[in-house]
Amino acid sequence: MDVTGRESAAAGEGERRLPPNLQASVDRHSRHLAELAANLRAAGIGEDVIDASVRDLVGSYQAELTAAMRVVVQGQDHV
Amino acid sequence: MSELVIDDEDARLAALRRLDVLDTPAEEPFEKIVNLVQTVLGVPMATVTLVDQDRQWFKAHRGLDAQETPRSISFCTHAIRQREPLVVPDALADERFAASPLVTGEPFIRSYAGVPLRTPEGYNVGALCALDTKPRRFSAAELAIMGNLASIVCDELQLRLIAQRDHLTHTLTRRGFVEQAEKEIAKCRRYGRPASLALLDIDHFKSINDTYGHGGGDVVLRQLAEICAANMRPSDAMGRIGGEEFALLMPETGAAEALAAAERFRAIIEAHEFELEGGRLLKVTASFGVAAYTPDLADTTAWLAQTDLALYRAKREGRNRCRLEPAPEERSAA
Repeated sequence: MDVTGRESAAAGEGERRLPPNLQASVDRHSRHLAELAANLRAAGIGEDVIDASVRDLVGSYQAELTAAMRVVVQGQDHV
Repeated sequence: MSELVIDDEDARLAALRRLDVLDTPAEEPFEKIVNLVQTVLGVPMATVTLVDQDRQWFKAHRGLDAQETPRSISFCTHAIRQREPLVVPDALADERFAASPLVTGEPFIRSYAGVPLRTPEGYNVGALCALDTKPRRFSAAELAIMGNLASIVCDELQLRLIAQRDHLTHTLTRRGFVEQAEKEIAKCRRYGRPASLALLDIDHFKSINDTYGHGGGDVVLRQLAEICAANMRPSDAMGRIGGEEFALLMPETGAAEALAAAERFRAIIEAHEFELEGGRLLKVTASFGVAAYTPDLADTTAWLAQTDLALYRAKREGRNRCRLEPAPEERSAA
């Protein structure tokens, strides 16, 4: 298998591991962050403030997502 | 997102309770969001507010000392009644708020913008709020930013809910269900209220899997969860606690009433035609065990074990039936 093939196989594996409802949550959150950045920019907020704000929000969501994935995986193991 | 549901307060409160966020400590994601509201809009006060039965409770608050206030004097009780943000440029010029103690006294709110926090089922459980002590017009750009931040609050709340949900059936996971049942036990003990538990196990599920594959089994699990959810009360909770085993928690429900409810679910499942891929229809039955909470049950594990005895009897006596533990004759003898 070439590198590309391995990578896409790994990516496919990753996608299979993320339950659809968590994937939908990630997609929704990404969309909301992108809209927020656009609206902050439109309101004349500086790029460094926008970057810091979005980074901050991504960080806390990521921590919650990791915790949620842990619980979901434990739940699947149990069922 | 679902349509806004305004006139079902019981269901709205049940949706709020399911979030399991009331009276929890401050948390970083929500703190960051109120900080952003304060910074970007330049307001002295910002809150993530949840509207409970008789109070508004702040999950995060900046510039306000109180953790909660009566609902009757709140702005947010009005905000949750609408789809769009509630904007009050001058509270003293608005008869709904001019006499509110929050306006005439501390914290002297003079202007308000609240964007409803709506759950995926369509219930406005609270609002993200920006408040000022001066009259103020909130621009369209500011309200758009508030709207984005409110969506991010909802993402955070929803993510916690997902962690409690089984991804196939969207019922609670075993862990999520046990947490709910533990809270119900605490309520029963504290207030002396009744509650009951039902365990539901799909009959001959292995042969469904063997005949129609795991995909067919999954369809049955998903549809069964859907029809139960559609027939539950808003205050009931359902969890998938084993492969083909579900539990139903029924607050404020005694043994006889819970047995009747289980019988109703049993009949609904028996009458339902499960549609598999390719349009093939399948009949399925389920057995139910029911047990009311009694003070001698130490915890959810003991309560589930008691209910499991009833389920075992339902299976042993021929399946597709409901049994109560202790059996009615044993209850009357006791």
